[in-house]
Amino acid sequence: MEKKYYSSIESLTGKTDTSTSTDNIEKSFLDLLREEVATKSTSRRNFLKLCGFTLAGAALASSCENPVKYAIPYLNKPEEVTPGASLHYATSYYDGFEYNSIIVKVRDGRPIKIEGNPHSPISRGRTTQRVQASLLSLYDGTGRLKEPLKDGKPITWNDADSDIIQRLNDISNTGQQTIILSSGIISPSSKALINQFLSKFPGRHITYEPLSVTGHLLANKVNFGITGIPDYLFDKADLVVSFSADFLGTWLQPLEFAFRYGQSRDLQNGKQKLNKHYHFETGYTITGSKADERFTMKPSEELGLILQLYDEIAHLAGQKKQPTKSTLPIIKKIATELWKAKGKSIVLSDNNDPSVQLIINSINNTLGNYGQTLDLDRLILTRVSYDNDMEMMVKEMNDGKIGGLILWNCNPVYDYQDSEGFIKGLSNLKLTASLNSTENDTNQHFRYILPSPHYLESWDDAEPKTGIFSLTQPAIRNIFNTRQAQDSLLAWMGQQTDYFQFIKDHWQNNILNSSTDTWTDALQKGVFEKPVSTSGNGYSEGILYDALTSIRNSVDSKKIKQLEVKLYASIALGKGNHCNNPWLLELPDPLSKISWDNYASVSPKTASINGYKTGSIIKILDFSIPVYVQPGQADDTISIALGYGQKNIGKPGSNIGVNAYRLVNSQIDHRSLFRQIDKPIILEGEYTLAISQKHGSLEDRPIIRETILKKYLENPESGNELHREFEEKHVTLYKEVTFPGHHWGMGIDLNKCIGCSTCVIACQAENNIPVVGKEEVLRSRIMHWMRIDRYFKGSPDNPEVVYQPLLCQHCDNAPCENVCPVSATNHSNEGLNQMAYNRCVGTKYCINNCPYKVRRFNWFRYATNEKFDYNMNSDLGRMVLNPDVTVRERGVVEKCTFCVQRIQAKKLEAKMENRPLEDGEILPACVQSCPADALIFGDLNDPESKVSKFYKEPRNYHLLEELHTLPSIGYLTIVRNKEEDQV
Amino acid sequence: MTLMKINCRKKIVFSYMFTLISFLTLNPIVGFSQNGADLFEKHCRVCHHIGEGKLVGPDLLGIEERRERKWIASFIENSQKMIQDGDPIAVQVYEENNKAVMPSFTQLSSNEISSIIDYIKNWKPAEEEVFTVDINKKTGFKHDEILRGERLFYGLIRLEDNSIVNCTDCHNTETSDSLNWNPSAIDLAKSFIDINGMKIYESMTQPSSDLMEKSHNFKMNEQEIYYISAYLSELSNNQLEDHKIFPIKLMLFILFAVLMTLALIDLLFTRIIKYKIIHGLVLIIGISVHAWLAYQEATNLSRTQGYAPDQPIKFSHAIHAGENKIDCRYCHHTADYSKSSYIPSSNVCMNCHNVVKTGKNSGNFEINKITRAIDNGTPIQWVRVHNLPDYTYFSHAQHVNVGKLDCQVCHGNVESMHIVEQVNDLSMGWCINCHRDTEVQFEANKYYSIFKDMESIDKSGRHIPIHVDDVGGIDCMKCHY
Repeated sequence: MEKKYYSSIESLTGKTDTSTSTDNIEKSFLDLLREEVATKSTSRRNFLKLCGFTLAGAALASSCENPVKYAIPYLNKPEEVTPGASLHYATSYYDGFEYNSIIVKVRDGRPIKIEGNPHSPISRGRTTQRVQASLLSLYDGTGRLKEPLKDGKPITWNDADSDIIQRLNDISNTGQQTIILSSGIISPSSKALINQFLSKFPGRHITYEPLSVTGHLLANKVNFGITGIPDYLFDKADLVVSFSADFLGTWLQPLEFAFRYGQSRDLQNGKQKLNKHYHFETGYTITGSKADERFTMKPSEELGLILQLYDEIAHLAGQKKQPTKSTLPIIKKIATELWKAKGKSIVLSDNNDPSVQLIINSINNTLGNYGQTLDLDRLILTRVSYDNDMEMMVKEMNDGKIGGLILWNCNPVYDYQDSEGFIKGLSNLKLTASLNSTENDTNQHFRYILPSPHYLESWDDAEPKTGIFSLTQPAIRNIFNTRQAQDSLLAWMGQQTDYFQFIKDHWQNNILNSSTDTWTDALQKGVFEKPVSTSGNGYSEGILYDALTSIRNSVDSKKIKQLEVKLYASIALGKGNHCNNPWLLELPDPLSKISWDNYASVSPKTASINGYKTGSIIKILDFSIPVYVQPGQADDTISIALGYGQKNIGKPGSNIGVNAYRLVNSQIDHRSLFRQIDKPIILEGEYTLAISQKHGSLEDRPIIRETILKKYLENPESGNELHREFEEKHVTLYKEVTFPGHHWGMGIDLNKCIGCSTCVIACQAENNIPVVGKEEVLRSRIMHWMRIDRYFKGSPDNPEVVYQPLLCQHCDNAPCENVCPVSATNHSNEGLNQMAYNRCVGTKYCINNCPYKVRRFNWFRYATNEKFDYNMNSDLGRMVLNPDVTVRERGVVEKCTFCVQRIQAKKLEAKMENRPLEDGEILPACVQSCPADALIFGDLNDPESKVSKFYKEPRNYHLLEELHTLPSIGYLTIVRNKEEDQV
Repeated sequence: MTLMKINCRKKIVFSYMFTLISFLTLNPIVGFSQNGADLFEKHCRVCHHIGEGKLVGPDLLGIEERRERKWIASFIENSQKMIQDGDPIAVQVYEENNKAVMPSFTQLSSNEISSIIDYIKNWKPAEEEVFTVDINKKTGFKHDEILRGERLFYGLIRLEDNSIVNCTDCHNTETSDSLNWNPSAIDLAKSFIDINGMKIYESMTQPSSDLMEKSHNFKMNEQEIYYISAYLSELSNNQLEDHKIFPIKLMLFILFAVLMTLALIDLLFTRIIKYKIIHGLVLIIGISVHAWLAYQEATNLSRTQGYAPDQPIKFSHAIHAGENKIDCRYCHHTADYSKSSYIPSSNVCMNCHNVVKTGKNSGNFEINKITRAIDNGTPIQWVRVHNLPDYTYFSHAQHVNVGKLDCQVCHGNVESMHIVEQVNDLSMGWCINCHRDTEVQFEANKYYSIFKDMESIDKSGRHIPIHVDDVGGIDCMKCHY
């Protein structure tokens, strides 16, 4: 059966992608030079001049003396510090949106890499892409607040403290309230501290998150009397039905969910079971792309679908008669399957409406999922805000009931839909103090700006799940004149202790068991687990009937406008707090492959009806936004990513994209992320989106192989028949290459890969890969050594998506090696395709001859060029560079090295300990960070290694293996759990 | 702060000179001056001081109290007559002053003589221009003070105790070929900036070590110290002057360029030498020399073999590692487990130098630098001798710990070096050659058990050496990544 894959509508229809053709790109310097050379004839005089300059330059260069270099040792070396060796500290990341327990690699006092904490049951040694990149924001010279300010002028901490204490006292004397407005706080110590603070200065603590799960929290409170969200055990679920919940990308705990989901998509080592995943959504998300069966829906249709499912399940459970209204056949089918998989299924929705969540809870309860696939003992506590609190506070602010506002790591002027009301309310206050750590649009409205340090400079703790605690410890001394928010509160309370001591006391008194646990142990591991009592949290229906009634009414009375806008958190920027992070800004969206912008995704059908095309600019409410035609988008809908369009957050991130938070729809008890709009008009002009994957055609080459579960069970080689054929045909005239010691290889399970792009960021952080900016991305000069290729398959209305992580294949018969005129790239005796930068003369022959297109050329000296003002060209930004990896010079080719620095380091470790290397000991950055466990790395010479077994899998194949390039990377075919293979 | 008043004698000296000149030129103005001061300056000054000690004749301070006024007057008028008359005091004075004859001043009237005696009687130390010297001063010296200091430092003027000392004999101002154990002038100047003139004064007057006591067997007064301070403060902005090396290669290059030009000119135009083979020879030799020089220079580009820079502290490996047999890895301990061998932090030095306060050769000047660095919190800035380019990864642990190489293999006999010198050129060829020649410790390390196919013993039981390059030791990505 011929399958057809494509990467964009244009490549499917055969049209060229006009928005990305080079005509629209500004002329590069080289182009200008070329023009100049072309227009001016070279005279003899010019030629001689040129000769003279060259000679003089050469003479000057050769006569230069070697610079004197200095070595400045410590005066008094700390015992644990070894120059040239790294230290690792366990700490935690939490920004109100997501939680990761992490290990920070510190080299000579500088944090240079973030890894997941293997001790943590949540992280399991893995991270998300945003947390990987959060390292760079530590060295953000333009986006971080650097010193305390009063009315925009520097002030000392002491003066600020005495000012604020006076004002706080004034406020409490007049009987007004002081509000602490913070992003999500899951730190037990901070909560205790805030309580103490508020008992001294009367007021409230309000948690504000732009992207909350209020609906869940309220429904769970009604149903179970709990404050939190049951944990979703995807690894135990055979059937997952998701209504637009992007649980692999941005929803709740994507890191943990991705791992569990990966486990249930695992067919290696003879496993036969695959979960089944139905997904309903509006825009394409990575979760939808992994679903076995994905359906598009308008956001307004979601309620109806959930209601139908509820009715069907209730009917199957014998609680109700056959639903009167006609049910969609697919819902009927899903309901039947769910009923079969009772206790082994999960139904979930990201809808923020408590009524919807009550119904979802009821469905799960009827299916007996609580206690099985939904864990009520260890609740997820990372989302803690109720949308209504903020609305009330803004109202009270404007009513003059509030005297002081202490802002702590939030940006409501940017991400609160009624920012005008908020700003107006601020003028009524006696005290406005911002304890934010970064520049943002809100700070300027505050009188006092008392910056907090980056989380890598702070002490903190967290309880991300019931009974799972973790600590945050500083990995570097404060770079700027900052003070932790908690220390500020302590100072204003007049306490002498610092927050570190406060945490320690709090842990010793409340969390640690003094007889068995020690603080040092907890700090070293970073996490501390307390046993939880398994209490059968009884389900009570609560106000389900009211919810059903209200939903039924709203479904019936829906006034349908022409188009619906759905807002979503983007993979790269999350809720928007990473918007000044150049790594994340340049990370292509997994589905659209667009970096450096947000855009309005529309379906091909909607686009053709309304006359939109990729790059046309449309006007939604009062702002204009470029259109991207996204296959698989629901018709008559527009999806827009949140987090972009901030004005004052630093150099790379300011004024990138548009702020879609203005479209947030405020309801009585929650905010919802969709609204109906009139048909947007097309504005004049065209906008160029930086799409990094332009060439999407597979040229009919079988580089993506897939099958369905039924066929796989019959024949494990199904879909991969070509592999055997090619293997048999492999003959060579040359002597077969053998590798005496190691032969490094990698395995990528395409079934597990969720396209989240964490590996891309991990690789960038590990290997000093420069950020090149939008213009250069448009010129196809993105430098990522690892990219995730995305291909669509099937009808553009709802195509299937496959991801293919592509990095240097380290071919044992590499086409690039043969063409290098200076032998700068050649093969090592460990099977690595090595690249010697200092030998490369930049002919780019290798790039042209690489069939996988994984080699990158340094068009500029990114580390010193002031035009690439992202991080590498400033002293502060350069601190993030890995000293074990060369910063590449202009004019050389670079590519994936399999993290050879890590291979060498681990080999040396084994040699020093006088033992053979263990399998799985060496982890390249991409492998180590992969949340879904899709990547493995090891020695192909060792028959017992994981990667050797991976190679023996019947699903294993190599890219373009018919070319006899003998790649060292194996891919496993995709197996989808569905009835019919899509054509 | 110690403040010292020093009378400036300039004015007195000046008037003395003026008088002398007046005598010689018989300036007509002289006769008109009538007051005692002028008369004294005119007639007495040549041989007498007031209050400044003996000159030719005795100091006249308080002469009124010692002699009768009448006696003085007659002695002035004609001393020789009084001596001849046998006046006992006059004879005594005559004897005391080495029988120096005082001229008779019969031309002076008794009034004039009286006014001179009054002048001496009423003489008070001149409240002339007095300036204070702050020997703790660190900056802002006048140019002439610096100049005077320089002369003192170079031994161009006598010290007050009449000795001539050239400080630069020991405290060099140029880089020296061999190690000069004494602190260089710049070194002194730099430490002087940190402390002050008083410390110099103290260390000069109370030498803290035998070595210093022996070499500083002269005395300097505070004023001289002040001048020296002035010079040192100037010097502290400077670097040691480079020892100029005669540019042999450049000269050779120019010489052959000239020769070739001449040969060409002669060959084409002047044709003085008939045998063209001579021109040919000159040209061939010239081109070969030029090519050889170019090759030499090109290969040595950015190589620093023989580099032996002066260090901020005269630390001698010969004394520490050679004489005292301290293991290299006592100080460079991280070489065992890190890529960097690490220059020891100052606290490691203090492990021994808490007790060892005086060095054998350098006294305590160099050792004090460590203490001072710790006290001031300013780390010592050593000059790196062995530099590898940024794109080269080198791990000491691999070579020292795993490869069991001695430090000397790459660094040479450091234990015999007073100044560390880069012995090998650290070029890639040098690395590769060693990797080709060095045998892997195959049996000793269990890591190598994976190289199953590589038998290190052949069928006849003979040991086959396996070299580093056999296990990938010359792959690019062993060092460049």
